[in-house]
Amino acid sequence: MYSNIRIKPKMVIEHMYERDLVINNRELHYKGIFITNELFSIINRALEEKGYEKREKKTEEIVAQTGKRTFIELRPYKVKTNYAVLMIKMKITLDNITETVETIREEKRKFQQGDVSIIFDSWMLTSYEGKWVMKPWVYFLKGIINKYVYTFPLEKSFRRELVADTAYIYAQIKRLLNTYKVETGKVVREEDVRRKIEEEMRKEIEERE
Amino acid sequence: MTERTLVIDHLKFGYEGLFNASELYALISSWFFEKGWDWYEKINQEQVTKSGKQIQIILEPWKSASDYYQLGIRIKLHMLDVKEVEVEHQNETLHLNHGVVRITFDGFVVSDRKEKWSKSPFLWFLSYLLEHYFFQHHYGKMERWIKSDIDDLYGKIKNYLNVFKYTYQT
Repeated sequence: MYSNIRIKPKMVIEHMYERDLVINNRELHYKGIFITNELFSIINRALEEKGYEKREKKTEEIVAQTGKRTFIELRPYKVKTNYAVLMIKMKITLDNITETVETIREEKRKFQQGDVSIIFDSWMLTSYEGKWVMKPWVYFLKGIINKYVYTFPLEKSFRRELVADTAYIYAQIKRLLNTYKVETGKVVREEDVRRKIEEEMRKEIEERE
Repeated sequence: MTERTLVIDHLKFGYEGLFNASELYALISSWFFEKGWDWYEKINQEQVTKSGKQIQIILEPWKSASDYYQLGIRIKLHMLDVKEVEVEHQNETLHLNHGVVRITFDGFVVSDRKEKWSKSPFLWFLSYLLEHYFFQHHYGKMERWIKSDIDDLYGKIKNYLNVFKYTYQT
């Protein structure tokens, strides 16, 4: 009956693109108290600030006698041009989550306690209309030119933007999680975290190239 | 030519623990009934193995949203290693199931559902022009409709199984 399946250009379906993994498996681990709603709120806010369209891909929960394990995969994306889309894949795992009440500044607050693990994969998706990907020799030639001869300025800037965006989101989450460590008195400035992460990511990319 | 546009691509849900399989199925079917969708169960397969029941259900309900558009959802519901268990809760014995639930959602907008505009190449060309350049907002409305319907059903299932709910609000 449906002889023609169409995918609108607005849709971001990853397998229709040339995919370039810019940040691979950047991990953020935290163990301690936190507020789940605040964590997701800061992720949403950071994504909004950077102009990403939010998208949930998967939710999984395992309920065992030892506790709950929640896995959430987000794939927010930002359409840059008709040709390029930036996508950050965030795999969030909340493990052994229990509820606890802590007294902070003489005020009782309800927190969640457990292990938080967030894994970032940042992808640059090109060939927006799904046309170039149909021609392997174009893809191959473009890859060779990009890598050894000349990197197109537009692609270079998208790459930088993706790294900066990921670093910003990472830093925002890290800053929030660090604020929960009140008892240790450890204060980390956001700018320092962001700069450090950005530098580390750049180094990783340069090493790969 | 009837065309269908993929709007929601493989939205996934997973759960492992205690649940009531028949209640979960009833929740999904009643949601479609309440929303005025037409029910279509494509596959309902059950295997009884040593590790429990392996249930595979594929649903493809649809809704005629206008004279031209039709909305469609494909739900692949897999329930794996489903065992019957008895749980004591507030001095009551509850008959529940234990196992793994995996659900995948796909959402479509089907255009020219009556195949009126595919009788001649000229009509097809005209419909293409009208759809893409003059009545884009109609398509946009359908897209929002299917997105919000799937979001609602997804939320209902999460609520029922008491799973953490990620929302797009800050």
